[in-house]
Formats: sequence, C-alpha cells, structure tokens
Amino acid sequence: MVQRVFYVTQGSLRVWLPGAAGKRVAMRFSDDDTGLREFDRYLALYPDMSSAMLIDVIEEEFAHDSIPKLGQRDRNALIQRRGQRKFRRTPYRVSIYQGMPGRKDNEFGVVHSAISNHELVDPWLQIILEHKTPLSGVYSVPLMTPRIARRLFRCNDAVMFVAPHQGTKLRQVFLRDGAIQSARLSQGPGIEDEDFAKFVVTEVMRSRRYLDRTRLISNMETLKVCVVASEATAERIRALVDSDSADQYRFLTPKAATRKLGQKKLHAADHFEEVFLSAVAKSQPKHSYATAGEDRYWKMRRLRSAIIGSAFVTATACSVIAAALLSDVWGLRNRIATIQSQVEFLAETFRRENDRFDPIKADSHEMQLAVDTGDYLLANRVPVPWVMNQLGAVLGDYPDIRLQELNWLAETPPDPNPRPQRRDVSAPVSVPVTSGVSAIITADIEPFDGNMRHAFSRIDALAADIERRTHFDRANAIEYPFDANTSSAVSGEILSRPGDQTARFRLRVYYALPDAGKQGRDDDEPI
Amino acid sequence: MNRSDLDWVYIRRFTARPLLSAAVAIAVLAFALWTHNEHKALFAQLKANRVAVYEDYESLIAQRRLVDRYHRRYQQYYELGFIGRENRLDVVETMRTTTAELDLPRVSYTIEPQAGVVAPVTSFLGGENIQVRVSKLQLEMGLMHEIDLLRFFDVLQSQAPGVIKVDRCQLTNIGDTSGAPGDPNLSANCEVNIFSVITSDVHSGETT
Repeated sequence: MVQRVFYVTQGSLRVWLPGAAGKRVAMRFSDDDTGLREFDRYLALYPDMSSAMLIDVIEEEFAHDSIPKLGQRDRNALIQRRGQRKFRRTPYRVSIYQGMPGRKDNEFGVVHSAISNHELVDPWLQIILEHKTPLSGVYSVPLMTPRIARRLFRCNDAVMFVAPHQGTKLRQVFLRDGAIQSARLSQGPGIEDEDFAKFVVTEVMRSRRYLDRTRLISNMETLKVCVVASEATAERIRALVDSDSADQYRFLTPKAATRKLGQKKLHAADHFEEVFLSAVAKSQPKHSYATAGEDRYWKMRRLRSAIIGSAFVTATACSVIAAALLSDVWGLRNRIATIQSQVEFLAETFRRENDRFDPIKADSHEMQLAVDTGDYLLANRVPVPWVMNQLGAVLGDYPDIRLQELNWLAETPPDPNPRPQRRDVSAPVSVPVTSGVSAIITADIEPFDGNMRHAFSRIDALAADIERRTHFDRANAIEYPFDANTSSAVSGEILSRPGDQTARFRLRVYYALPDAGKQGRDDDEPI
Repeated sequence: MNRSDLDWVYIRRFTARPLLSAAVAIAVLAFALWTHNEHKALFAQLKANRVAVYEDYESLIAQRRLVDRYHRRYQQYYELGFIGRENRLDVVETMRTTTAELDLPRVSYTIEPQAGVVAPVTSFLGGENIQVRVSKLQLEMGLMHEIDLLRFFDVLQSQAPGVIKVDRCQLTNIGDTSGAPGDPNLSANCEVNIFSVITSDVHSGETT
C-alpha cells in the first residue's frame, strides 16, 4: 500500500493522496518548466512518502507477437529481445506472456507494450529519483484494466472495455479471454454533451475496424462492449446501435462499478481513472514499466524496512527470552540460596553428630557383628556349672551310687556338607550351632549285695528321677551291671562276701537346648 | 537491482538505533544465557551435594542407632577381651594363678595354633573386615573335688581374655586308685575354645 500516487497524463502530473478520510488530489503540476520546478520543491518537502506512478496517456502502444514453445529461461530472453526490438526508443516497455496458443501450432502469444513517448515520463522520474523518493512502480491504466474489468463484467472472449477518463477522454481497452490486447485513449466531448453517446459508438466502431485490420478480431466475431456510463447515456447508446450490429453492449453505472470494486464513490462520473488510482494505492499491480531501476529506492526502502523490522523482531525476541531467562535465574538464585542453607544446616548437623562419634573408633556394622558373634558363641556353649548342678542335685539323694566318670559334650546337628578327610589346617573352621547337651554317667552301686533285680530297679529309679527333677529330657541306662539280653553271652561270679562286689552301670542323659542357635540377646543383659 | 545500484547511505538511514537495540538485546540475551547456564550448573551441583549430605546424614543416623544399641555390649565384650588380639600370656597367667588359688594338684594345657573362623554372623550392610579367631585349648587337670572344675572355668572366663566355650569335658573319679594324701580324687579332660574378634579399629591399631 502506497501513501501517494503520481497520476501522469498528457500535459500534467497530479499528486493523488489516498487515505482513510477519502481520496483527494493534493497537487497538480503542468508539464512545463514551472510545473517541474514546483514538483521539485514539493518533493523536497515530502521525499520519503512511498509512492507509485500511474500513466494514462495516448502514447501507449501495443504490439502482438508469437513465440515458439521454449523453456522458461530461453522464453524470457526471447521475449525481452523481441520487446527491445519492437520498442527500441523507449525504456518504458513491458512484455506480457499470455500463454494462449498463437496463430500457428506450438506458438504462444506475447503482447509488448510501451510508453512510446518517453519524454512524457522522463522529467518527472528524474526529479523523483533525485529526491530518492521510493517509487513502487510505473503502472498504466490499460495494463491494469484486465483485473478491473474481470471484477466488473465477468465476460470472456473478445471484450472492449470503455470508460470516461480525465473529463473529456474515452479509454478503450480490448481484452481477449481476460488478457490485454490493445488500448486507445480518445479525446472527445464530455459525458454531459449530447453527442457523447454517438462519440462512444463511433469510437467503438473505429476501434473495431482497427482490430479487424490488425487481425485481433475477425469480421464474424461478436465484440462485447462493456461501457461504464450513466443510465441515460446507456439508453442513448442503445438507441444508436444497429440491431444487426455484431457488437453487444453492456452497461454499468460508475456508482455500481465502485460498489462492485469495494471503493468509495467517484468525485465525478467522467473521472473513472480514480478507480485505477485507488487500485494502485491499495495493491501493487502486476505489470510495471519501471524496468530500468526507477523503483530502486522503493526496493531499498523495503530492504531498510526489512532490516529495521528484523532488528526490532530480534530485539523484542531477545529481550523476551532474556527476560524469561533472567526471571528463571532469579528463581534459581532463590532455590540455590534455600539449598545452600539446607546444605549448611545438614553439614553442621552432620559435623555435630559426627563429633559425638569421635570416641568410638569401630565401625557401627562391625560393632553389631562383633556383638552378635559374641552372643552367638555364648548361646552355643555348654553350661558346665548347670550340668554339674543338675546332676549333683539328684545324685546327692543316692548315696549308694558312686559316680566314677562324667563325660559330657555339646551336641551339634549333622553337617550337611561334611569336610574332606584331610583337613586343611589354615582353612577357617566353622562354629556349629549347639543343639543340646549330652552326658554319659558311669557309676557304681556300692555296696552291692549281689541282688541284680534290686540294682536294676535302683538304676531305673535314678534315670526316672533325673528325668523328673532335672531339665534333662531323656535319661536312659545304656549299660546295666548285667546284660539280660538273651541274644548275648553272659558271665559272672558269685562271691561268698557280697559286700565287696560292685555293680557298674552307665546312663545317658540328654538336654535339648530350647533356643538352639539363638544369636540375639537383650541389649542390657550381662554377658 | 544490482549490488552497485544499492545506495548504502539511504539504506543506513534510520537503521542505526534498531540495529543498536538488536545488538544490545543480543548481548543481554548472551549474558542471560551465560548467567542462566552458570546458575543451572550451580543449582545441579548443590542439589547433588544436598542429596549426598542427606545420604551421609541418614547413614550417620543409622550408624548412630546401631552404636546406641550395641555400644554398651561392645564395650563389655571389649573389656572381656573378646574384641582384640588374643593374649596367650594372659591366658596362661590366669591358668597359673587360678591353679595356685584353687590349690589344684595338677593342670596341664595345650594351646593349638590360632585358626580363622567362618564368621557365624554376617551382614550385607558392612563389617566385612571383621575377623573371628579361635584357639583350641586342651586341659588335663587333677581335681580334689568337682567344684574345683566349676571354679576353674569361672575364673578362666572372667579373667582370661576371650570368650571361653567348653565343648567337651570328661570327669573321672580316680580317688580309689591313688592312695597318697594330696593326690587328686578326680581327673578332668576338657576341650575348650577361646574365641576372639578383630575389628578394623583393632587391625589399624587404634584399639589394642
């Protein structure tokens, strides 16, 4: 979107300012020395406004050409070369590749157009470039017409678009399939003149003859003439047109045209160029005559805007990211401070607790193991005084039985993994669990009167007494003074003095430890 | 448009401040990135430190609980001589003085070389450096009375270093065969194990 449009006509340049308040012509400069000086002074005051130039002159020529089917690069080079050859005297030329088949097979149409009288434009452009005014392009009304006409009439094939321009001129643009073919600007009466309708019909017929002559349209072909005119003018034109004419007329009022295009009402119905000016101001047309660097300050301004925009975006993005990061840093600092205080507190607590350990050299787990090992050993040793006290308490009531031998040992459960017979002296030994205490008592009955039956009953009574009065679970005689088993041989001696005889027997007692292998002890229990 | 067509003076107009702003913003961003990374690294390090200190502290508390529970009994075992290197001289001296005190007619002993013992108690939490040792003591004694044997073991347990474990004992009446006065009435043949434990502090010489 540009801020200003320079509207160049045959003898003047008008500065046209589009805006929210409405479009208006700000200045008019005539095409003479005075006008150029004034334009120079004007631009010196407002050099930086983005601008565009719209040319609406008679001296705009069109030439048809056809090119063979080529690759894009070759095609562009050929089109450029042909355009240069067609209009070698003016730098303001443009070639439009239309892509439709030409007269012969495999040929494609090209329209070359140019402002044939470059002196109409040169002085203005020279001043514009001197002031480094950003000019988006040099556009022309005929080159813009296909886009405008397509939105107004929606007609294909051969179309002649006709509209009043500059108060007293009639713009005629011939389009085929929506693409520009030719254009004319005729000087004539104003639209208020009674002959205006006749002038329109005459000019259309003249243009038709020109198109016939240049073979842009055939004799038999219907030409759709789309005219922007008031209803009254339309009625007059209809009345003038012969019903047998090959031309078909369609009409659209200026008000309806601007409404269709979404533009504001025209200041004057005979200034339809305002539609093109609004279109130029609104969006950049596709085709421009500024092919020799006339729009370089526009491009440089866009480059500068891109640089400024990029810098702004970069600065904004960097600032936002930096703000987010610094905000995160602030949060991290708080969390770090919290963690530091926690670590210091823990370290101080750790140091204080550790100081309390200082007198204790042993590792706590070793301490536990040493104590548990000691408890295990104590739990699995034979209580010697207990054995002797238990037996002594019972044997004291049997004065006729004299203890000869007491043999006791700690019983261990059978080893599931027996050691090899050749024991390695250096190999560590294990400490088996003590499952019980067994003792073998060898004693004599003294004096013995030779009464074996009495001796047997006395031995059995002792065994029963041990079982009843002590903690020993089992007490059995494993050897009596006399072997009464019938399967074994027996021998003896019967003496005349029985008092010298003794009756020897052996008892086996067993006590199963109730908590065999108990490792734990109460913490405060003395060792 | 060629490069030579560019009017750099025109392009540079109005761009100095935005470019300077962008440069300052980039510098601030770089500083913010650097600071952020530094703080992030410091935060991660302190977080790891805190975890380590927590673990140390929890380990210390666990040790403290163990020590609170076992220290008294450990001290008792230490005073008993169970924890520490076996002192044979003390064992022999205790047997000699006990024999004299109890007026035992005869005591003969044989102490076998000290051997390692498979630790009967283990823990996966630690204490793998603990060493359990045993010395086997064979005792042959002449006794006047059975009670002498009990007294002898009582004194041996209380005064000799280590845990005394009597595995087997044979007490034989020999009163009839010896007739001379002062001769023993009983003979005892006992097999005794003297256990000791060496912990790492004993090993390193911090505790004797």
